[in-house]
Amino acid sequence: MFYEKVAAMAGLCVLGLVLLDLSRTRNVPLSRQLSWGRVWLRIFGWACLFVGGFFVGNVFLAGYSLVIILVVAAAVSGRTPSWGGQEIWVTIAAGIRHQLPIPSLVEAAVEESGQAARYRQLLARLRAGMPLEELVRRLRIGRPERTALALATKTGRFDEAIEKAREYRSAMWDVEELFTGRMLLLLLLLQGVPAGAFMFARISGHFGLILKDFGLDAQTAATRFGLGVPAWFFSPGLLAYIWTAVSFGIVVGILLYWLGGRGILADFWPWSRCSLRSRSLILMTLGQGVRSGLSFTEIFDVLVNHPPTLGIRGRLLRTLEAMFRGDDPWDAMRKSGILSPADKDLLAASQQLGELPLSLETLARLHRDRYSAALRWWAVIGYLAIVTLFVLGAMIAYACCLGTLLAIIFCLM
Amino acid sequence: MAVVMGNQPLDFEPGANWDVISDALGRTVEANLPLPTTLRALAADLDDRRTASALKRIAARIERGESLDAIFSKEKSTKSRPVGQLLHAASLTPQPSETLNRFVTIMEDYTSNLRNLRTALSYPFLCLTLALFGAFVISAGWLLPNARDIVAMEEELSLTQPVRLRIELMWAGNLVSLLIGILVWGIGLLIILGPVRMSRCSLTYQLPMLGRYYAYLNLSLFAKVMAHLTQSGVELSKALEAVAGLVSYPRLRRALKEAAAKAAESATFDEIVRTDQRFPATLRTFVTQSGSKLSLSARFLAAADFFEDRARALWHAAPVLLMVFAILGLIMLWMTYAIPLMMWIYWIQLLSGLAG
Repeated sequence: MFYEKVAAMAGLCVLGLVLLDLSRTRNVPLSRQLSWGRVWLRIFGWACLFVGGFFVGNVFLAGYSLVIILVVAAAVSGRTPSWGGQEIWVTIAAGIRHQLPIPSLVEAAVEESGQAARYRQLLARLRAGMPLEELVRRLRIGRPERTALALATKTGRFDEAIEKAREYRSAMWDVEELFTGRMLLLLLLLQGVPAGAFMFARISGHFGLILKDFGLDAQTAATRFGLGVPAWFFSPGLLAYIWTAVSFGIVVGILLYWLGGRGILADFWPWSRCSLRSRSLILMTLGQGVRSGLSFTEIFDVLVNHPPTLGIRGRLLRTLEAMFRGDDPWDAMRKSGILSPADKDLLAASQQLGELPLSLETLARLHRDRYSAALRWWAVIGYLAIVTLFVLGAMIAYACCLGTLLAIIFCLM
Repeated sequence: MAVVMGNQPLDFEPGANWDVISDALGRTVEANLPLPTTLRALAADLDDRRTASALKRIAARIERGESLDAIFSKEKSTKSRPVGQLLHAASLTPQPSETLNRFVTIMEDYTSNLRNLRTALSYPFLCLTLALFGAFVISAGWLLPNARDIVAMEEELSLTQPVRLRIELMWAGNLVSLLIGILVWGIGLLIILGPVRMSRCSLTYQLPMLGRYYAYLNLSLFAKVMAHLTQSGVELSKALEAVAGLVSYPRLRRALKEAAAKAAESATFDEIVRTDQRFPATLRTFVTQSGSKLSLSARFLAAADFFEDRARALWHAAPVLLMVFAILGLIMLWMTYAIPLMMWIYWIQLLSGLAG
């Protein structure tokens, strides 16, 4: 029965692979990509591969890892909806910059990516003359880009909106990479801790045997050198908890960062001022809106419906309500924590001088740079943590090896 | 080193830095300086002995009356071929000196973008090295001795056949995982060591994500050079042939060579590209937009800008991709620790007679 089960599951895997090969969509014309037969072949192919792979994998004690590998392969192949959305966004931006018809370009991008089936409805609506705003709303693109385009539909200045959003992204890319890279490196090193501990446990077993040969036990050797460290400090359980907590913390931290930036918690916390990132994006949008002659309520209406960061909508809504009640816009923004008192005074003064758009943009750039400097600090902290980890690991290994050797020497003496 | 002065083409010394050579040639030609003297002067300033030697050889051959184009067209080395192709492409235009310098800059951007891959790949490569090392240590130091104990016990208990088979399958699975890991590691190492060299291999373009990065850079290079050539009024078939020598994407190169042959038979670029699926759909749309008021060279420039943006977007998506690797690495490590535990549980099951 066992052999039959294995053979059936392996057969299922092979069938899945054949179906997936038959349903390939890359470099295939749009009409063939959109045929339902191909879509069903694909669904059945993945189902066979997952089910068969999981059960065959279990025989190899690797069923779960096979599923993980499949997920990673799908992510790496760039077929995720967010990546598909990004590609279409890049296409739309290029089309607007070079004044080319958007629908045919989007259609070509979808055909090229081999994901026509996923965007079936979108393509149909594009052919029916869907407006650009609706197209963008349906895509999974970054929040700042979404805000910029929503504003551009009111001002009609798509070129400027795309250019500003692009400028913001380019300015942040390097520092974001530095931050993420440092955190990922720390995460990688942390994974070395249990691997090192595992090897060290095996080596210390041999040391224990050597000490035993000399009539010593590890405890005596340790106390002889007055290590004086409480036993719980070296408890594997405690170390495992710390390792898990820190690793988990880093992963959650990076995920939070990619969700909305370092200041996402500040944005959610109603009693603090909003993050520098949110502030810079709001000021940038305000600058563009004011330059195009929109009123504050109109700009805030766009911001409330398309907030540039995840946790900022509540503050924007409160500001808009205050403005509708007749409050001063700068006061309303200060009260909801979007502006600092100094920012408020500066902007009120430049409004009187008639230099408001320029001041808003300058202030937006200033906060963007401050945010970028703060990220660099986190990268430095990550670097210090990496060095500390290295030094601690080296010290422990050195002390334990040297301690054993010295214990043997003392015994011989 | 003496310069060979025979009639046969001279082989340049392997290991010469062709980026430096093409840069030197481009700048010298654009500045209208005497080539042999300037190249010798530059060679004297260089620390890299092989590159200096290649520059001296080029200077010697120019003094013998050979043109730059002729020197590089006879050259067999794959590394120096792009320089020859650049010279050939530039020689087609009315202002070869200016164009050459522009092409050299385009080529430099292309190669530096390819070399950027080293930074992007370093983290996953380190992760994979650690995971492979850990898997090897745990397999050889922990799993193998335990498996021997289980087999010994199984013989003692005289259990049924599938138990032994299951253990063998487990080992086969472990070995296959390690081999796949080593294969991926090897591909990564090849790309890290020679990202530019790997661009000539068809298989590189089949790799997930990386393949598209390579393809976008090649398409951008193609569109940029074509924009300059069409703007300079170079005949379409000659321009396509020249660009075919510059791009390293084999599929695109083949398509361009065929397109050049068709263009020589008086077919327009729109007609050639519209039906050829080897040209990406977006390129076809950019170049053959019927409603667009842009000239052909402007359309090529727009396409170049688009593909460059796509490559940049792909490059900046790398951190998200790395997150997947990081989480996978974590889970895999947990799995590695879980396997011995599972083996212990299995052993207990065996002892208590639950398995079999």
